[in-house]
Amino acid sequence: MDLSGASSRFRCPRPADFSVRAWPDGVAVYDDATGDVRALTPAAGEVFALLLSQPAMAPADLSQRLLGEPPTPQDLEQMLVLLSGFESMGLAERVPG
Amino acid sequence: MSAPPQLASLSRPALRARLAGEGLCLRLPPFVVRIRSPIPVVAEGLATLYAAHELLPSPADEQFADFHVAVLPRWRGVKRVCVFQMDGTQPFTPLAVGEAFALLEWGMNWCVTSHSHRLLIIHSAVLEKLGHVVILPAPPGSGKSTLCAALMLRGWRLLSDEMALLDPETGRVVPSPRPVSLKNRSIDVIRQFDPTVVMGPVAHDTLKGTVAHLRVSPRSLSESAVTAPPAWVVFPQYEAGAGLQVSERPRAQALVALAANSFNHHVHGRAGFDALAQVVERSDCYNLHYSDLPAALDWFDALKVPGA
Repeated sequence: MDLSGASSRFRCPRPADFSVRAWPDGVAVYDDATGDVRALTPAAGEVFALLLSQPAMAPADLSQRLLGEPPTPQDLEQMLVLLSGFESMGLAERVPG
Repeated sequence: MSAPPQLASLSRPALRARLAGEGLCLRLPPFVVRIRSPIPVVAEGLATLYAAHELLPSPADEQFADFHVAVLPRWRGVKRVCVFQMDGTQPFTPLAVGEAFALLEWGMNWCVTSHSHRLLIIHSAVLEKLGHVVILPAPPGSGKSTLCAALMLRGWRLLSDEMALLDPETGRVVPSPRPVSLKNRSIDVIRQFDPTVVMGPVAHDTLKGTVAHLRVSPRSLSESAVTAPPAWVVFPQYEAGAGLQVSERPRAQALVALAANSFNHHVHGRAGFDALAQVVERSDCYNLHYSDLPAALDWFDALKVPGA
């Protein structure tokens, strides 16, 4: 199990650049800066909405907000995988320090 | 008030002379195109497929045209080829002269998709029934044009075989009814589906294989000023031997696919995204796998307008 990165905090790098449309079966995100349109699962869309609305959050806090209970190590690992995917899409970045 | 003149009002010799000379101006809704070409197959294709389109006054009368295009013969070594020009520029490599009419069609598509950025353009077929349109975005080989042709022959109104012209301000699709491009086996499939269809010149050995164009239905042309809102987005996929399979496509995924099939949503920025989101918001979105054309057509005919 890889929990490296669990102590980092994540944020959306350019909240004003993103436009979001949510439906029960998924979420679409548009990036003004690149013109990219991406589809997220409903759960991933919830996490991205949290990143848009908060200055920065730790993976454990994101998991807890999403699940409504303290995350298990497996939950935390899944959240880190999701955030890593967000980083590669330019939807999230690690907060320095 | 008399009806405007149609291209059919020109005799073949007069048509050939106009094309070879100053050119002729046709209303290809919502655009006006001035076409020049001395190549006989171009005249043949226009006479066959655009007979009922409105013929506008001569370019010498200062008729405005959105696009000034030409398909001209050239020699490449010992081979006779043709080139497409718009405003004197030549965006494509030359093709065999027998492909001149197909090149004109592809070139006119390029004119629209490359320059008409007031409208949001999605690579798709669009047809209407009951005042609402179905958008069929799909890559080549998906059976989109075969379905499109058969639906038109079944009474659906064709707005376009190649591109949905979405007005981002109204959310309605603007018709641009032009001949349906059929390729390879679909040419015979449609001829068997309706032996009375009118097709233009057949171009063999093109980059897309054998290509022929099908004339649009009279209703599609007579109602070419009637816009309509989207109600369905269907992603077709032909699979030989497959039974009819339909699944709902999540709206977010449908939106991403519409954007991927859009020529210019990036030009519209966030407004383009919002316009595409409105399309999927108002529409039922499906994946459709089919091999049996009549079964697929029955499924389309049974579509209900969302919320009706």
